[in-house]
Amino acid sequence: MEQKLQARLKRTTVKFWLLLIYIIAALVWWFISLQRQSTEMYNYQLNHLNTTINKDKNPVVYQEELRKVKEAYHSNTLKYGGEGIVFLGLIILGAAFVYSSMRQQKQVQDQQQNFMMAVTHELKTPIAISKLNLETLIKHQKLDEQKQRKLIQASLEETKRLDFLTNNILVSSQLEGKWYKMNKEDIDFSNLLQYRVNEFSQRFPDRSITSNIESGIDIEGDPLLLEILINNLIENALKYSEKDEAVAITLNRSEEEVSMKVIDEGPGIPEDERKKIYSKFYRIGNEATRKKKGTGLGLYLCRKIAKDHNADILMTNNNVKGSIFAVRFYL
Amino acid sequence: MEERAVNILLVEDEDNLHEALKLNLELENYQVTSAYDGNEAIKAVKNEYFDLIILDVMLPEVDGIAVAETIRISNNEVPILMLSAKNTSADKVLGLKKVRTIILPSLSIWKNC
Repeated sequence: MEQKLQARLKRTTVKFWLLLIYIIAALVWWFISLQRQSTEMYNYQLNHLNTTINKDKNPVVYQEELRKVKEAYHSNTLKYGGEGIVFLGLIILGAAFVYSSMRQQKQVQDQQQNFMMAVTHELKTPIAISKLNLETLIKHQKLDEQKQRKLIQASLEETKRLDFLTNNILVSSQLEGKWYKMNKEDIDFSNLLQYRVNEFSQRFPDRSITSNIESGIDIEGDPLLLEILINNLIENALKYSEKDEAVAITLNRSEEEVSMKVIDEGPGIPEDERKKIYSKFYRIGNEATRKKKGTGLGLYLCRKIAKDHNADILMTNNNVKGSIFAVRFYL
Repeated sequence: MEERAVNILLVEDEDNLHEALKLNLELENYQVTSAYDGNEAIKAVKNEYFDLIILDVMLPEVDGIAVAETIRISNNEVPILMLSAKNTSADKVLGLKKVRTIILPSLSIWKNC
Protein backbone atom coordinates (compact mmCIF):
# COMPACT_ATOMS: atom_id res chain seq x y z
CA MET A 1 0.00 0.00 0.00
CA GLU A 2 2.68 2.39 1.11
CA GLN A 3 4.98 1.38 -1.72
CA LYS A 4 2.20 1.80 -4.25
CA LEU A 5 1.47 5.29 -2.98
CA GLN A 6 5.15 6.15 -3.05
CA ALA A 7 5.49 4.90 -6.60
CA ARG A 8 2.46 6.89 -7.68
CA LEU A 9 3.81 10.01 -6.08
CA LYS A 10 7.14 9.48 -7.79
CA ARG A 11 5.45 9.06 -11.16
CA THR A 12 3.43 12.21 -10.64
CA THR A 13 6.55 14.15 -9.72
CA VAL A 14 8.37 12.89 -12.81
CA LYS A 15 5.37 13.78 -15.01
CA PHE A 16 5.20 17.20 -13.44
CA TRP A 17 8.84 17.97 -14.14
CA LEU A 18 8.71 16.56 -17.69
CA LEU A 19 5.68 18.68 -18.47
CA LEU A 20 7.30 21.77 -17.00
CA ILE A 21 10.50 21.20 -18.97
CA TYR A 22 8.46 20.62 -22.13
CA ILE A 23 6.49 23.84 -21.66
CA ILE A 24 9.61 25.88 -21.05
CA ALA A 25 11.38 24.26 -24.01
CA ALA A 26 8.37 25.05 -26.22
CA LEU A 27 8.47 28.64 -25.03
CA VAL A 28 12.18 28.96 -25.81
CA TRP A 29 11.66 27.32 -29.20
CA TRP A 30 8.82 29.74 -29.92
CA PHE A 31 11.12 32.64 -29.11
CA ILE A 32 13.92 31.30 -31.27
CA SER A 33 11.67 30.70 -34.27
CA LEU A 34 10.10 34.15 -33.98
CA GLN A 35 13.54 35.67 -33.72
CA ARG A 36 14.61 33.79 -36.79
CA GLN A 37 11.55 34.89 -38.71
CA SER A 38 12.11 38.45 -37.69
CA THR A 39 15.75 38.36 -38.75
CA GLU A 40 14.72 36.95 -42.12
CA MET A 41 12.21 39.73 -42.50
CA TYR A 42 14.87 42.27 -41.61
CA ASN A 43 17.29 40.90 -44.13
CA TYR A 44 14.60 40.86 -46.78
CA GLN A 45 13.68 44.48 -46.07
CA LEU A 46 17.35 45.41 -46.12
CA ASN A 47 17.70 43.80 -49.54
CA HIS A 48 14.60 45.54 -50.73
CA LEU A 49 15.96 48.84 -49.50
CA ASN A 50 19.26 48.28 -51.24
CA THR A 51 17.58 47.57 -54.56
CA THR A 52 15.01 50.39 -54.45
CA ILE A 53 17.04 53.26 -53.05
CA ASN A 54 20.53 54.10 -54.16
CA LYS A 55 22.76 54.48 -51.14
CA ASP A 56 25.14 56.92 -52.82
CA LYS A 57 22.62 59.13 -54.61
CA ASN A 58 20.11 59.52 -51.82
CA PRO A 59 22.04 59.04 -48.58
CA VAL A 60 19.58 60.96 -46.38
CA VAL A 61 16.50 59.04 -47.54
CA TYR A 62 18.43 55.78 -47.39
CA GLN A 63 19.60 56.37 -43.83
CA GLU A 64 16.07 57.35 -42.81
CA GLU A 65 14.59 54.17 -44.30
CA LEU A 66 17.35 52.06 -42.79
CA ARG A 67 16.65 53.54 -39.39
CA LYS A 68 12.96 52.70 -39.75
CA VAL A 69 13.66 49.08 -40.69
CA LYS A 70 16.11 48.67 -37.81
CA GLU A 71 13.69 50.21 -35.36
CA ALA A 72 10.89 47.91 -36.46
CA TYR A 73 13.22 44.94 -36.03
CA HIS A 74 14.21 45.98 -32.50
CA SER A 75 10.71 46.78 -31.37
CA ASN A 76 9.58 43.36 -32.64
CA THR A 77 12.32 41.63 -30.66
CA LEU A 78 11.39 43.61 -27.60
CA LYS A 79 7.71 42.82 -28.03
CA TYR A 80 7.90 39.05 -28.12
CA GLY A 81 10.83 39.05 -25.74
CA GLY A 82 8.64 40.81 -23.21
CA GLU A 83 5.70 38.56 -23.95
CA GLY A 84 7.92 35.52 -23.52
CA ILE A 85 9.20 36.71 -20.16
CA VAL A 86 5.71 37.41 -18.85
CA PHE A 87 4.62 33.99 -20.05
CA LEU A 88 7.59 32.30 -18.44
CA GLY A 89 6.93 34.13 -15.22
CA LEU A 90 3.33 32.99 -15.19
CA ILE A 91 4.30 29.40 -15.93
CA ILE A 92 6.88 29.35 -13.16
CA LEU A 93 4.43 30.90 -10.74
CA GLY A 94 1.82 28.29 -11.61
CA ALA A 95 4.35 25.49 -11.37
CA ALA A 96 5.52 26.70 -7.98
CA PHE A 97 1.92 26.73 -6.80
CA VAL A 98 1.27 23.20 -8.06
CA TYR A 99 4.53 21.99 -6.57
CA SER A 100 3.85 23.43 -3.14
CA SER A 101 0.35 21.97 -3.02
CA MET A 102 1.77 18.63 -4.10
CA ARG A 103 4.22 18.73 -1.23
CA GLN A 104 1.51 19.68 1.19
CA GLN A 105 -0.57 16.78 -0.04
CA LYS A 106 2.33 14.46 0.56
CA GLN A 107 2.81 15.76 4.07
CA VAL A 108 -0.84 15.20 4.91
CA GLN A 109 -0.58 11.73 3.41
CA ASP A 110 2.50 10.92 5.48
CA GLN A 111 0.83 12.06 8.65
CA GLN A 112 -2.24 10.03 7.90
CA GLN A 113 -0.03 7.04 7.19
CA ASN A 114 1.63 7.52 10.56
CA PHE A 115 -1.77 7.76 12.16
CA MET A 116 -2.91 4.52 10.57
CA MET A 117 0.23 2.77 11.76
CA ALA A 118 -0.14 4.16 15.25
CA VAL A 119 -3.83 3.38 15.48
CA THR A 120 -3.33 -0.17 14.26
CA HIS A 121 -0.78 -0.70 16.97
CA GLU A 122 -2.73 1.17 19.63
CA LEU A 123 -5.98 -0.65 18.95
CA LYS A 124 -4.55 -4.09 18.44
CA THR A 125 -2.26 -4.19 21.45
CA PRO A 126 -4.91 -3.81 24.17
CA ILE A 127 -7.16 -6.25 22.35
CA ALA A 128 -4.34 -8.75 22.02
CA ILE A 129 -3.43 -8.43 25.70
CA SER A 130 -7.00 -8.82 26.92
CA LYS A 131 -7.55 -11.76 24.63
CA LEU A 132 -4.37 -13.46 25.72
CA ASN A 133 -5.16 -12.92 29.37
CA LEU A 134 -8.65 -14.35 29.03
CA GLU A 135 -7.35 -17.32 27.07
CA THR A 136 -4.75 -17.92 29.73
CA LEU A 137 -7.41 -17.87 32.42
CA ILE A 138 -9.50 -20.41 30.53
CA LYS A 139 -6.59 -22.69 29.75
CA HIS A 140 -4.99 -22.67 33.18
CA GLN A 141 -7.88 -22.74 35.55
CA LYS A 142 -5.75 -23.95 38.42
CA LEU A 143 -3.67 -20.80 38.42
CA ASP A 144 -3.18 -19.35 41.88
CA GLU A 145 -5.48 -16.56 42.88
CA GLN A 146 -2.92 -13.79 42.90
CA LYS A 147 -1.89 -14.50 39.31
CA GLN A 148 -5.52 -14.70 38.23
CA ARG A 149 -6.22 -11.33 39.80
CA LYS A 150 -3.23 -9.86 38.08
CA LEU A 151 -4.42 -11.08 34.69
CA ILE A 152 -7.91 -9.73 35.26
CA GLN A 153 -6.55 -6.40 36.50
CA ALA A 154 -4.31 -6.10 33.44
CA SER A 155 -7.22 -6.86 31.11
CA LEU A 156 -9.32 -4.23 32.79
CA GLU A 157 -6.52 -1.69 32.44
CA GLU A 158 -6.18 -2.47 28.76
CA THR A 159 -9.91 -2.15 28.26
CA LYS A 160 -9.79 1.30 29.82
CA ARG A 161 -6.95 2.22 27.52
CA LEU A 162 -9.01 1.10 24.56
CA ASP A 163 -11.94 3.12 25.83
CA PHE A 164 -9.77 6.21 26.15
CA LEU A 165 -8.43 5.78 22.64
CA THR A 166 -11.76 5.16 20.95
CA ASN A 167 -13.18 8.16 22.79
CA ASN A 168 -10.39 10.31 21.39
CA ILE A 169 -10.92 9.10 17.85
CA LEU A 170 -14.72 9.33 17.97
CA VAL A 171 -14.93 12.72 19.63
CA SER A 172 -12.32 14.28 17.36
CA SER A 173 -14.12 13.11 14.24
CA GLN A 174 -17.45 14.18 15.70
CA LEU A 175 -16.15 17.61 16.63
CA GLU A 176 -14.73 17.95 13.15
CA GLY A 177 -17.92 16.87 11.42
CA LYS A 178 -19.87 19.22 13.69
CA TRP A 179 -22.09 16.31 14.71
CA TYR A 180 -21.12 16.65 18.30
CA LYS A 181 -23.66 18.66 20.19
CA MET A 182 -22.01 20.39 23.08
CA ASN A 183 -23.85 19.92 26.27
CA LYS A 184 -22.78 22.87 28.35
CA GLU A 185 -23.82 22.98 31.95
CA ASP A 186 -22.53 24.41 35.21
CA ILE A 187 -20.08 21.92 36.62
CA ASP A 188 -17.91 21.71 39.68
CA PHE A 189 -14.56 21.65 37.89
CA SER A 190 -12.59 21.08 41.10
CA ASN A 191 -14.59 17.95 41.75
CA LEU A 192 -14.22 16.67 38.20
CA LEU A 193 -10.48 17.24 38.20
CA GLN A 194 -10.02 15.61 41.61
CA TYR A 195 -11.97 12.60 40.44
CA ARG A 196 -9.79 12.22 37.33
CA VAL A 197 -6.60 12.59 39.37
CA ASN A 198 -7.78 9.92 41.79
CA GLU A 199 -8.48 7.56 38.94
CA PHE A 200 -5.00 8.09 37.49
CA SER A 201 -3.44 7.51 40.92
CA GLN A 202 -5.32 4.22 41.08
CA ARG A 203 -4.29 3.22 37.59
CA PHE A 204 -0.63 4.06 38.17
CA PRO A 205 -0.03 3.23 41.83
CA ASP A 206 3.76 3.37 41.47
CA ARG A 207 3.80 6.88 39.97
CA SER A 208 4.02 10.03 42.01
CA ILE A 209 0.95 12.10 41.15
CA THR A 210 0.35 15.10 43.37
CA SER A 211 -2.41 17.63 43.15
CA ASN A 212 -3.17 21.04 44.54
CA ILE A 213 -6.75 21.76 43.63
CA GLU A 214 -8.65 24.78 44.90
CA SER A 215 -12.10 23.58 45.79
CA GLY A 216 -15.44 24.94 44.68
CA ILE A 217 -14.46 26.24 41.26
CA ASP A 218 -17.44 26.10 38.94
CA ILE A 219 -17.22 26.59 35.21
CA GLU A 220 -19.64 26.20 32.37
CA GLY A 221 -18.74 23.37 30.07
CA ASP A 222 -19.36 19.96 28.61
CA PRO A 223 -18.33 17.38 31.22
CA LEU A 224 -17.40 14.68 28.70
CA LEU A 225 -15.18 17.02 26.69
CA LEU A 226 -13.52 18.46 29.79
CA GLU A 227 -12.86 14.94 31.00
CA ILE A 228 -11.17 14.11 27.70
CA LEU A 229 -9.09 17.28 27.96
CA ILE A 230 -7.92 16.42 31.47
CA ASN A 231 -7.30 12.78 30.62
CA ASN A 232 -5.17 13.64 27.62
CA LEU A 233 -2.98 16.13 29.45
CA ILE A 234 -2.37 13.85 32.44
CA GLU A 235 -1.89 10.83 30.21
CA ASN A 236 0.74 12.75 28.20
CA ALA A 237 2.53 13.91 31.32
CA LEU A 238 2.76 10.33 32.60
CA LYS A 239 3.60 8.84 29.25
CA TYR A 240 6.41 11.18 28.29
CA SER A 241 8.23 11.17 31.61
CA GLU A 242 10.14 8.40 33.32
CA LYS A 243 8.61 6.24 36.03
CA ASP A 244 10.46 7.99 38.84
CA GLU A 245 9.53 11.50 37.68
CA ALA A 246 6.65 13.21 39.42
CA VAL A 247 3.56 14.69 37.82
CA ALA A 248 1.70 17.56 39.51
CA ILE A 249 -1.74 18.95 38.80
CA THR A 250 -2.93 22.33 40.07
CA LEU A 251 -6.12 24.31 39.75
CA ASN A 252 -6.77 27.84 40.93
CA ARG A 253 -8.88 30.84 40.18
CA SER A 254 -7.99 34.48 39.87
CA GLU A 255 -10.28 37.39 39.09
CA GLU A 256 -10.43 36.86 35.38
CA GLU A 257 -9.47 33.27 34.81
CA VAL A 258 -9.50 29.68 36.01
CA SER A 259 -6.16 28.07 35.42
CA MET A 260 -5.39 24.36 35.37
CA LYS A 261 -1.79 23.20 35.13
CA VAL A 262 -0.32 19.80 34.44
CA ILE A 263 3.36 19.79 35.32
CA ASP A 264 5.81 17.03 34.46
CA GLU A 265 9.53 16.44 34.81
CA GLY A 266 9.98 14.75 31.46
CA PRO A 267 12.33 15.73 28.64
CA GLY A 268 10.33 18.84 27.67
CA ILE A 269 9.53 19.92 24.12
CA PRO A 270 12.08 21.59 21.82
CA GLU A 271 11.32 25.18 20.84
CA ASP A 272 10.76 24.45 17.15
CA GLU A 273 8.26 21.65 17.81
CA ARG A 274 6.00 23.66 20.08
CA LYS A 275 3.77 25.07 17.41
CA LYS A 276 3.38 21.77 15.62
CA ILE A 277 2.33 19.62 18.57
CA TYR A 278 -1.27 20.76 18.29
CA SER A 279 -1.61 19.71 14.64
CA LYS A 280 -3.71 16.69 13.95
CA PHE A 281 -1.76 13.41 13.80
CA TYR A 282 1.48 15.27 14.49
CA ARG A 283 4.00 13.38 16.59
CA ILE A 284 7.61 14.19 17.30
CA GLY A 285 10.10 11.73 15.85
CA ASN A 286 9.93 8.58 13.74
CA GLU A 287 7.02 6.14 14.02
CA ALA A 288 8.78 2.79 13.68
CA THR A 289 11.27 3.20 16.49
CA ARG A 290 9.27 5.53 18.66
CA LYS A 291 9.66 5.14 22.34
CA LYS A 292 6.15 6.13 23.27
CA LYS A 293 3.05 5.00 21.48
CA GLY A 294 0.22 7.31 20.60
CA THR A 295 -1.97 8.56 17.81
CA GLY A 296 -1.14 12.25 17.51
CA LEU A 297 -4.71 13.17 18.39
CA GLY A 298 -4.38 14.11 22.06
CA LEU A 299 -3.15 17.70 21.98
CA TYR A 300 -5.06 18.44 18.79
CA LEU A 301 -8.21 17.45 20.63
CA CYS A 302 -7.21 19.36 23.77
CA ARG A 303 -6.80 22.57 21.86
CA LYS A 304 -10.09 22.10 20.07
CA ILE A 305 -11.92 21.45 23.33
CA ALA A 306 -10.21 24.38 25.03
CA LYS A 307 -11.26 26.67 22.18
CA ASP A 308 -14.87 25.56 22.53
CA HIS A 309 -14.71 26.49 26.22
CA ASN A 310 -13.25 29.95 25.72
CA ALA A 311 -9.89 28.74 26.96
CA ASP A 312 -6.37 28.46 25.63
CA ILE A 313 -3.48 26.09 26.19
CA LEU A 314 -0.02 27.36 26.84
CA MET A 315 3.05 25.19 27.04
CA THR A 316 6.03 26.47 29.03
CA ASN A 317 9.21 25.00 30.46
CA ASN A 318 9.16 23.64 33.95
CA ASN A 319 11.72 25.37 36.19
CA VAL A 320 13.74 22.29 36.89
CA LYS A 321 13.07 19.97 34.01
CA GLY A 322 10.09 19.08 31.86
CA SER A 323 7.07 21.01 30.72
CA ILE A 324 3.97 22.72 32.02
CA PHE A 325 0.71 22.62 30.12
CA ALA A 326 -1.57 25.38 31.36
CA VAL A 327 -5.22 25.62 30.35
CA ARG A 328 -6.74 29.01 31.08
CA PHE A 329 -10.50 29.41 31.07
CA TYR A 330 -11.44 33.06 30.70
CA LEU A 331 -14.34 34.08 32.88
CA MET B 1 18.37 -38.50 31.50
CA GLU B 2 18.96 -34.86 32.21
CA GLU B 3 16.89 -32.46 30.23
CA ARG B 4 17.86 -28.84 29.89
CA ALA B 5 15.03 -26.32 29.98
CA VAL B 6 14.45 -24.55 26.70
CA ASN B 7 15.78 -21.00 26.97
CA ILE B 8 13.71 -18.28 25.30
CA LEU B 9 14.46 -14.59 24.90
CA LEU B 10 11.30 -12.51 24.95
CA VAL B 11 11.57 -9.01 23.51
CA GLU B 12 8.43 -6.92 23.98
CA ASP B 13 8.04 -3.37 25.26
CA GLU B 14 4.39 -3.42 26.31
CA ASP B 15 4.54 -4.30 30.00
CA ASN B 16 1.19 -6.07 30.19
CA LEU B 17 1.78 -8.07 27.04
CA HIS B 18 5.25 -8.96 28.19
CA GLU B 19 3.97 -10.22 31.52
CA ALA B 20 1.20 -12.26 29.95
CA LEU B 21 3.51 -13.85 27.37
CA LYS B 22 6.09 -14.63 30.00
CA LEU B 23 3.54 -16.21 32.30
CA ASN B 24 2.28 -18.42 29.50
CA LEU B 25 5.74 -19.52 28.48
CA GLU B 26 6.68 -20.25 32.05
CA LEU B 27 3.52 -22.26 32.56
CA GLU B 28 4.73 -24.40 29.66
CA ASN B 29 8.03 -24.90 31.52
CA TYR B 30 10.19 -22.73 29.33
CA GLN B 31 12.89 -20.60 30.80
CA VAL B 32 12.31 -16.97 29.84
CA THR B 33 14.74 -14.07 29.71
CA SER B 34 13.18 -10.63 29.34
CA ALA B 35 14.24 -7.70 27.22
CA TYR B 36 12.19 -4.53 26.85
CA ASP B 37 13.87 -2.84 23.91
CA GLY B 38 16.10 -3.55 20.93
CA ASN B 39 19.41 -2.70 22.54
CA GLU B 40 18.70 -4.89 25.55
CA ALA B 41 17.85 -7.74 23.19
CA ILE B 42 21.09 -7.40 21.22
CA LYS B 43 23.10 -7.33 24.43
CA ALA B 44 21.32 -10.41 25.78
CA VAL B 45 21.96 -12.38 22.59
CA LYS B 46 25.66 -11.59 22.79
CA ASN B 47 25.93 -12.83 26.37
CA GLU B 48 23.75 -15.88 26.40
CA TYR B 49 22.65 -18.84 24.33
CA PHE B 50 18.96 -18.97 23.39
CA ASP B 51 16.98 -21.74 21.74
CA LEU B 52 14.41 -19.28 20.46
CA ILE B 53 13.87 -15.54 20.28
CA ILE B 54 10.39 -14.04 20.32
CA LEU B 55 10.70 -10.56 18.97
CA ASP B 56 8.21 -7.72 18.63
CA VAL B 57 8.54 -5.68 15.43
CA MET B 58 7.68 -2.30 16.89
CA LEU B 59 10.21 -1.59 19.61
CA PRO B 60 11.65 1.57 21.11
CA GLU B 61 15.18 2.62 20.03
CA VAL B 62 15.95 -0.19 17.57
CA ASP B 63 13.05 -1.92 15.79
CA GLY B 64 12.61 -5.69 15.62
CA ILE B 65 13.74 -6.05 12.02
CA ALA B 66 17.01 -4.26 12.82
CA VAL B 67 17.53 -6.45 15.88
CA ALA B 68 17.03 -9.59 13.78
CA GLU B 69 19.43 -8.26 11.14
CA THR B 70 22.07 -7.60 13.76
CA ILE B 71 21.67 -11.12 15.11
CA ARG B 72 21.95 -12.63 11.62
CA ILE B 73 24.99 -10.54 10.71
CA SER B 74 26.87 -12.02 13.64
CA ASN B 75 26.26 -15.45 12.06
CA ASN B 76 23.76 -16.50 14.67
CA GLU B 77 21.11 -18.80 13.20
CA VAL B 78 18.91 -18.98 16.29
CA PRO B 79 15.24 -19.38 15.33
CA ILE B 80 13.38 -16.07 15.58
CA LEU B 81 9.65 -15.63 15.80
CA MET B 82 8.53 -12.10 15.14
CA LEU B 83 5.30 -10.63 16.39
CA SER B 84 3.65 -7.86 14.47
CA ALA B 85 0.40 -6.12 15.24
CA LYS B 86 0.24 -5.07 11.62
CA ASN B 87 0.27 -8.59 10.19
CA THR B 88 0.60 -7.50 6.58
CA SER B 89 1.99 -9.76 3.89
CA ALA B 90 4.55 -7.11 2.98
CA ASP B 91 5.95 -7.46 6.50
CA LYS B 92 6.06 -11.22 6.23
CA VAL B 93 7.98 -11.08 2.98
CA LEU B 94 10.37 -8.56 4.47
CA GLY B 95 10.94 -10.83 7.46
CA LEU B 96 11.62 -13.89 5.34
CA LYS B 97 13.87 -12.17 2.84
CA LYS B 98 15.93 -9.96 5.05
CA VAL B 99 16.40 -11.90 8.23
CA ARG B 100 15.07 -15.40 7.61
CA THR B 101 12.41 -15.23 10.28
CA ILE B 102 8.74 -15.93 10.35
CA ILE B 103 6.46 -13.05 11.21
CA LEU B 104 3.29 -13.94 13.04
CA PRO B 105 0.36 -11.80 13.93
CA SER B 106 0.65 -10.95 17.62
CA LEU B 107 -0.21 -13.98 19.69
CA SER B 108 -1.23 -16.49 17.05
CA ILE B 109 1.55 -18.78 18.29
CA TRP B 110 -0.35 -19.42 21.49
CA LYS B 111 -2.92 -21.39 19.60
CA ASN B 112 -0.31 -24.10 19.19
CA CYS B 113 1.08 -24.07 22.69
